[in-house]
Amino acid sequence: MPVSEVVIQEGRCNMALAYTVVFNFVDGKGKESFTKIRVPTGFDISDYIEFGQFVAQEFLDVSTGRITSVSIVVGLDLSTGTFKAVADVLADTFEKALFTFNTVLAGFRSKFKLPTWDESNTIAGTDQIDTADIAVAAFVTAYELGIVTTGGTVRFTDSRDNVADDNDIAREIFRKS
Amino acid sequence: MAIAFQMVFNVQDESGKDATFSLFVPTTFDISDYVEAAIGIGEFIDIIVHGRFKSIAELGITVDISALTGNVAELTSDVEEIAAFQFETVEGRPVDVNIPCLDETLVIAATRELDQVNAAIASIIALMETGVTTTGGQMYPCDIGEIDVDNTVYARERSRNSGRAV
Repeated sequence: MPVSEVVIQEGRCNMALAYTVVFNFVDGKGKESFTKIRVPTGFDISDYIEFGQFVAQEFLDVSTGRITSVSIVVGLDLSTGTFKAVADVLADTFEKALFTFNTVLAGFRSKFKLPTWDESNTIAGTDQIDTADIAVAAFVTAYELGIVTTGGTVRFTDSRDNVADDNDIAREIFRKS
Repeated sequence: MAIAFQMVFNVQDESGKDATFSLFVPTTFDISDYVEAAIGIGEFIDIIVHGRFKSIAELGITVDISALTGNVAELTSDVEEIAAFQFETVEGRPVDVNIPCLDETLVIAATRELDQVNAAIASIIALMETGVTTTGGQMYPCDIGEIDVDNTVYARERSRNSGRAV
Protein backbone atom coordinates (compact mmCIF):
# COMPACT_ATOMS: atom_id res chain seq x y z
CA MET A 1 0.00 0.00 0.00
CA PRO A 2 1.52 3.35 -0.98
CA VAL A 3 2.14 5.83 1.79
CA SER A 4 -0.29 8.71 1.41
CA GLU A 5 0.95 12.24 1.67
CA VAL A 6 -0.09 13.60 5.04
CA VAL A 7 -2.04 16.85 4.83
CA ILE A 8 -3.03 18.41 8.10
CA GLN A 9 -5.48 21.27 7.88
CA GLU A 10 -7.79 22.05 10.77
CA GLY A 11 -7.69 18.39 11.81
CA ARG A 12 -8.24 16.89 8.36
CA CYS A 13 -5.55 14.29 7.72
CA ASN A 14 -5.26 11.38 5.38
CA MET A 15 -3.60 8.33 6.91
CA ALA A 16 -4.79 4.76 7.30
CA LEU A 17 -6.87 3.18 10.07
CA ALA A 18 -8.93 5.76 11.87
CA TYR A 19 -9.69 5.53 15.58
CA THR A 20 -13.18 4.52 16.71
CA VAL A 21 -15.49 6.13 19.27
CA VAL A 22 -18.03 3.60 20.58
CA PHE A 23 -21.32 4.58 22.25
CA ASN A 24 -23.17 1.89 24.22
CA PHE A 25 -26.92 2.19 24.76
CA VAL A 26 -29.52 0.41 26.85
CA ASP A 27 -33.30 0.69 26.43
CA GLY A 28 -36.12 0.66 28.95
CA LYS A 29 -36.28 -3.14 28.88
CA GLY A 30 -32.56 -3.60 29.47
CA LYS A 31 -31.61 -4.56 25.93
CA GLU A 32 -28.30 -3.25 24.72
CA SER A 33 -26.89 -1.96 21.49
CA PHE A 34 -24.14 0.32 20.30
CA THR A 35 -23.05 2.63 17.54
CA LYS A 36 -19.68 3.97 16.52
CA ILE A 37 -18.07 6.89 14.73
CA ARG A 38 -14.61 6.87 13.22
CA VAL A 39 -12.30 9.81 13.79
CA PRO A 40 -8.91 10.75 12.36
CA THR A 41 -5.61 10.10 14.09
CA GLY A 42 -3.33 12.97 15.11
CA PHE A 43 -5.18 14.48 18.07
CA ASP A 44 -4.47 14.32 21.79
CA ILE A 45 -6.41 11.90 23.98
CA SER A 46 -8.13 14.85 25.65
CA ASP A 47 -9.47 15.97 22.24
CA TYR A 48 -11.01 12.55 21.59
CA ILE A 49 -12.61 12.64 25.04
CA GLU A 50 -14.09 16.06 24.27
CA PHE A 51 -15.45 14.68 20.98
CA GLY A 52 -16.97 11.66 22.69
CA GLN A 53 -18.66 13.75 25.38
CA PHE A 54 -20.08 16.24 22.87
CA VAL A 55 -21.40 13.62 20.48
CA ALA A 56 -22.87 11.52 23.30
CA GLN A 57 -25.03 14.47 24.33
CA GLU A 58 -26.06 15.06 20.72
CA PHE A 59 -27.08 11.39 20.44
CA LEU A 60 -29.13 11.60 23.63
CA ASP A 61 -31.09 14.47 22.10
CA VAL A 62 -32.50 12.12 19.42
CA SER A 63 -32.66 8.95 21.51
CA THR A 64 -34.96 7.78 24.29
CA GLY A 65 -32.37 5.27 25.52
CA ARG A 66 -29.58 5.65 28.02
CA ILE A 67 -25.90 5.80 27.13
CA THR A 68 -24.11 3.43 29.50
CA SER A 69 -20.57 4.06 28.33
CA VAL A 70 -18.46 5.78 25.72
CA SER A 71 -15.02 4.53 24.81
CA ILE A 72 -12.34 5.33 22.27
CA VAL A 73 -10.40 2.57 20.54
CA VAL A 74 -6.94 3.68 19.46
CA GLY A 75 -4.79 1.46 17.27
CA LEU A 76 -1.23 0.94 18.54
CA ASP A 77 1.21 0.10 15.76
CA LEU A 78 3.65 -2.58 16.94
CA SER A 79 5.32 -3.03 13.56
CA THR A 80 8.55 -1.25 14.58
CA GLY A 81 9.08 -3.73 17.43
CA THR A 82 10.94 -7.04 17.32
CA PHE A 83 8.43 -9.87 17.25
CA LYS A 84 8.24 -13.39 15.80
CA ALA A 85 7.27 -13.34 12.14
CA VAL A 86 5.34 -16.62 12.41
CA ALA A 87 3.91 -18.58 15.32
CA ASP A 88 5.88 -21.58 16.57
CA VAL A 89 4.57 -25.01 15.54
CA LEU A 90 3.61 -25.73 19.16
CA ALA A 91 1.63 -22.53 19.62
CA ASP A 92 -1.86 -23.08 21.08
CA THR A 93 -4.16 -20.30 22.26
CA PHE A 94 -5.74 -22.65 24.83
CA GLU A 95 -2.42 -23.01 26.65
CA LYS A 96 -2.11 -19.96 28.87
CA ALA A 97 -0.04 -18.55 31.70
CA LEU A 98 -1.93 -16.85 34.52
CA PHE A 99 -0.03 -14.01 36.16
CA THR A 100 -1.29 -12.12 39.19
CA PHE A 101 0.44 -9.11 40.67
CA ASN A 102 -0.33 -7.31 43.91
CA THR A 103 -0.89 -3.59 43.56
CA VAL A 104 0.08 -0.73 45.85
CA LEU A 105 -3.48 -0.83 47.24
CA ALA A 106 -3.79 -3.83 49.53
CA GLY A 107 -6.35 -6.37 48.36
CA PHE A 108 -6.40 -5.16 44.77
CA ARG A 109 -4.64 -7.21 42.11
CA SER A 110 -3.68 -6.98 38.49
CA LYS A 111 -4.12 -10.23 36.57
CA PHE A 112 -4.05 -11.49 33.03
CA LYS A 113 -3.57 -14.69 31.04
CA LEU A 114 -0.94 -14.91 28.31
CA PRO A 115 -2.07 -17.22 25.47
CA THR A 116 0.17 -19.66 23.58
CA TRP A 117 2.37 -20.13 26.63
CA ASP A 118 5.78 -21.76 26.02
CA GLU A 119 5.57 -24.79 28.31
CA SER A 120 9.36 -25.08 28.49
CA ASN A 121 9.04 -22.18 30.96
CA THR A 122 6.92 -24.34 33.30
CA ILE A 123 8.65 -26.34 36.06
CA ALA A 124 8.56 -30.03 35.15
CA GLY A 125 5.90 -32.03 36.98
CA THR A 126 4.04 -28.92 38.13
CA ASP A 127 1.82 -26.15 36.80
CA GLN A 128 4.12 -23.52 38.24
CA ILE A 129 5.87 -21.13 35.92
CA ASP A 130 9.63 -20.99 36.32
CA THR A 131 10.05 -17.37 37.42
CA ALA A 132 13.80 -18.01 37.76
CA ASP A 133 14.02 -18.52 34.01
CA ILE A 134 15.89 -15.56 32.58
CA ALA A 135 13.25 -14.59 30.01
CA VAL A 136 10.35 -15.02 32.44
CA ALA A 137 12.18 -13.05 35.11
CA ALA A 138 12.85 -10.28 32.62
CA PHE A 139 9.17 -10.06 31.77
CA VAL A 140 8.11 -10.05 35.44
CA THR A 141 10.62 -7.30 36.20
CA ALA A 142 9.47 -5.25 33.21
CA TYR A 143 5.86 -5.57 34.36
CA GLU A 144 6.69 -4.64 37.95
CA LEU A 145 8.89 -1.66 37.10
CA GLY A 146 7.15 -0.46 33.95
CA ILE A 147 8.43 0.49 30.51
CA VAL A 148 10.50 3.62 29.97
CA THR A 149 8.98 5.83 27.26
CA THR A 150 9.60 9.33 25.96
CA GLY A 151 6.94 10.66 28.30
CA GLY A 152 8.16 8.79 31.37
CA THR A 153 7.87 5.28 32.78
CA VAL A 154 4.54 3.64 32.01
CA ARG A 155 3.73 1.46 35.02
CA PHE A 156 1.14 -1.28 34.68
CA THR A 157 -1.96 -1.20 36.85
CA ASP A 158 -5.19 -2.97 37.71
CA SER A 159 -8.43 -1.82 36.10
CA ARG A 160 -8.84 0.86 38.77
CA ASP A 161 -5.47 2.46 38.03
CA ASN A 162 -3.69 1.02 41.09
CA VAL A 163 -0.04 0.44 40.18
CA ALA A 164 1.14 -3.18 40.07
CA ASP A 165 3.81 -3.93 42.62
CA ASP A 166 5.07 -7.51 42.87
CA ASN A 167 4.30 -10.88 41.34
CA ASP A 168 1.99 -13.09 43.37
CA ILE A 169 0.90 -15.98 41.15
CA ALA A 170 2.46 -17.43 37.98
CA ARG A 171 1.05 -20.73 36.76
CA GLU A 172 0.04 -22.55 33.64
CA ILE A 173 -3.66 -23.02 32.90
CA PHE A 174 -5.78 -24.21 30.00
CA ARG A 175 -8.69 -22.02 28.96
CA LYS A 176 -10.77 -21.75 25.82
CA SER A 177 -10.10 -18.50 23.98
CA MET B 1 -10.72 5.68 41.76
CA ALA B 2 -9.86 6.40 38.14
CA ILE B 3 -10.53 3.86 35.41
CA ALA B 4 -7.27 2.80 33.80
CA PHE B 5 -6.83 2.58 30.05
CA GLN B 6 -6.85 -0.95 28.64
CA MET B 7 -4.15 -2.19 26.27
CA VAL B 8 -5.39 -5.19 24.25
CA PHE B 9 -2.97 -7.47 22.41
CA ASN B 10 -3.89 -10.12 19.83
CA VAL B 11 -1.80 -13.29 19.60
CA GLN B 12 -2.20 -15.93 16.92
CA ASP B 13 -1.27 -19.60 17.19
CA GLU B 14 0.07 -21.98 14.59
CA SER B 15 -3.42 -22.97 13.39
CA GLY B 16 -4.44 -19.37 12.87
CA LYS B 17 -6.61 -19.09 15.97
CA ASP B 18 -6.56 -15.73 17.74
CA ALA B 19 -6.58 -14.94 21.43
CA THR B 20 -6.37 -11.63 23.21
CA PHE B 21 -5.07 -10.50 26.55
CA SER B 22 -5.30 -7.12 28.24
CA LEU B 23 -2.95 -5.06 30.37
CA PHE B 24 -4.05 -1.91 32.16
CA VAL B 25 -2.07 1.31 32.08
CA PRO B 26 -2.38 4.73 33.70
CA THR B 27 -4.31 7.50 31.96
CA THR B 28 -1.72 10.26 31.97
CA PHE B 29 0.44 9.56 28.92
CA ASP B 30 0.35 10.49 25.23
CA ILE B 31 -0.65 8.00 22.56
CA SER B 32 2.95 7.79 21.36
CA ASP B 33 4.04 6.78 24.88
CA TYR B 34 1.47 3.98 24.91
CA VAL B 35 2.81 2.75 21.57
CA GLU B 36 6.32 2.61 23.05
CA ALA B 37 5.02 0.83 26.15
CA ALA B 38 3.06 -1.70 24.11
CA ILE B 39 6.11 -2.51 22.01
CA GLY B 40 8.32 -2.65 25.09
CA ILE B 41 6.24 -5.10 27.11
CA GLY B 42 5.18 -6.99 23.99
CA GLU B 43 8.79 -7.80 23.13
CA PHE B 44 9.34 -9.33 26.59
CA ILE B 45 6.21 -11.45 26.20
CA ASP B 46 7.03 -12.49 22.64
CA ILE B 47 10.06 -14.38 23.96
CA ILE B 48 8.08 -16.49 26.45
CA VAL B 49 5.09 -17.44 24.29
CA HIS B 50 4.86 -19.55 21.14
CA GLY B 51 2.33 -17.38 19.36
CA ARG B 52 2.74 -14.47 16.97
CA PHE B 53 1.75 -10.96 17.95
CA LYS B 54 -0.48 -9.19 15.44
CA SER B 55 0.99 -5.87 14.42
CA ILE B 56 -1.83 -3.72 15.79
CA ALA B 57 -2.71 -3.64 19.48
CA GLU B 58 -5.56 -1.50 20.78
CA LEU B 59 -5.79 1.06 23.55
CA GLY B 60 -9.26 1.35 25.07
CA ILE B 61 -9.96 4.75 26.61
CA THR B 62 -13.04 5.23 28.81
CA VAL B 63 -14.78 8.59 28.45
CA ASP B 64 -16.26 10.26 31.51
CA ILE B 65 -19.97 10.72 30.75
CA SER B 66 -21.06 11.74 34.23
CA ALA B 67 -21.95 15.24 33.00
CA LEU B 68 -24.46 14.07 30.38
CA THR B 69 -27.97 15.42 30.90
CA GLY B 70 -31.20 13.56 30.27
CA ASN B 71 -29.36 10.24 30.29
CA VAL B 72 -32.27 8.09 31.38
CA ALA B 73 -33.92 5.31 29.38
CA GLU B 74 -37.64 5.83 28.84
CA LEU B 75 -39.83 2.81 29.52
CA THR B 76 -40.96 2.70 25.88
CA SER B 77 -37.45 3.02 24.45
CA ASP B 78 -36.34 0.19 22.16
CA VAL B 79 -32.81 -0.43 20.82
CA GLU B 80 -34.35 -2.00 17.73
CA GLU B 81 -35.82 1.34 16.66
CA ILE B 82 -32.98 3.11 15.01
CA ALA B 83 -32.20 6.53 13.62
CA ALA B 84 -30.34 5.44 10.50
CA PHE B 85 -28.04 7.99 8.92
CA GLN B 86 -25.94 7.40 5.85
CA PHE B 87 -23.25 9.85 4.89
CA GLU B 88 -20.84 9.95 2.01
CA THR B 89 -17.12 10.68 2.19
CA VAL B 90 -15.35 13.09 -0.15
CA GLU B 91 -14.43 9.99 -2.15
CA GLY B 92 -18.02 8.82 -2.39
CA ARG B 93 -17.80 5.94 0.10
CA PRO B 94 -20.70 5.38 2.51
CA VAL B 95 -20.45 5.91 6.26
CA ASP B 96 -23.38 4.65 8.33
CA VAL B 97 -24.34 5.86 11.79
CA ASN B 98 -27.29 4.10 13.43
CA ILE B 99 -28.47 5.51 16.75
CA PRO B 100 -30.56 3.09 18.87
CA CYS B 101 -33.75 4.00 20.70
CA LEU B 102 -34.93 6.59 18.21
CA ASP B 103 -37.33 9.22 19.54
CA GLU B 104 -40.21 8.66 17.15
CA THR B 105 -41.42 12.25 17.46
CA LEU B 106 -38.52 13.08 15.15
CA VAL B 107 -40.03 11.08 12.27
CA ILE B 108 -42.11 12.97 9.70
CA ALA B 109 -45.72 11.75 9.94
CA ALA B 110 -46.71 9.01 7.46
CA THR B 111 -43.10 8.56 6.34
CA ARG B 112 -39.90 6.88 7.49
CA GLU B 113 -37.92 10.05 7.03
CA LEU B 114 -36.34 11.87 9.95
CA ASP B 115 -37.20 15.57 10.18
CA GLN B 116 -33.92 17.15 9.10
CA VAL B 117 -35.32 20.58 9.97
CA ASN B 118 -35.60 19.53 13.60
CA ALA B 119 -32.75 21.08 15.59
CA ALA B 120 -31.57 17.80 17.15
CA ILE B 121 -31.47 15.94 13.82
CA ALA B 122 -29.85 18.89 12.10
CA SER B 123 -27.21 18.97 14.83
CA ILE B 124 -26.28 15.30 14.23
CA ILE B 125 -25.95 15.99 10.52
CA ALA B 126 -23.88 19.11 11.15
CA LEU B 127 -21.41 17.38 13.44
CA MET B 128 -20.89 14.60 10.91
CA GLU B 129 -20.47 16.98 7.94
CA THR B 130 -18.54 19.82 9.56
CA GLY B 131 -16.92 18.13 12.55
CA VAL B 132 -16.67 18.90 16.24
CA THR B 133 -14.61 21.70 17.75
CA THR B 134 -12.06 20.41 20.25
CA THR B 135 -9.16 22.06 22.02
CA GLY B 136 -6.80 20.54 19.47
CA GLY B 137 -8.77 21.69 16.47
CA GLN B 138 -11.77 20.67 14.39
CA MET B 139 -12.26 16.89 14.43
CA TYR B 140 -14.02 15.57 11.33
CA PRO B 141 -15.72 12.17 11.42
CA CYS B 142 -14.39 9.91 8.71
CA ASP B 143 -14.32 6.39 7.32
CA ILE B 144 -11.84 3.72 8.33
CA GLY B 145 -9.30 5.10 5.88
CA GLU B 146 -9.56 8.55 7.50
CA ILE B 147 -11.38 10.06 4.52
CA ASP B 148 -13.67 12.82 5.76
CA VAL B 149 -17.45 12.62 5.71
CA ASP B 150 -18.76 15.16 3.22
CA ASN B 151 -22.56 15.04 2.80
CA THR B 152 -25.72 13.29 3.93
CA VAL B 153 -27.34 10.63 1.78
CA TYR B 154 -30.34 9.87 3.97
CA ALA B 155 -31.73 10.11 7.51
CA ARG B 156 -34.57 7.74 8.22
CA GLU B 157 -36.22 5.47 10.75
CA ARG B 158 -35.29 1.79 10.61
CA SER B 159 -35.95 -1.36 12.64
CA ARG B 160 -33.09 -3.77 13.28
CA ASN B 161 -32.44 -6.66 15.69
CA SER B 162 -30.48 -5.54 18.73
CA GLY B 163 -26.96 -6.77 19.48
CA ARG B 164 -25.73 -6.35 15.94
CA ALA B 165 -22.87 -4.04 15.10
CA VAL B 166 -24.41 -0.87 13.71
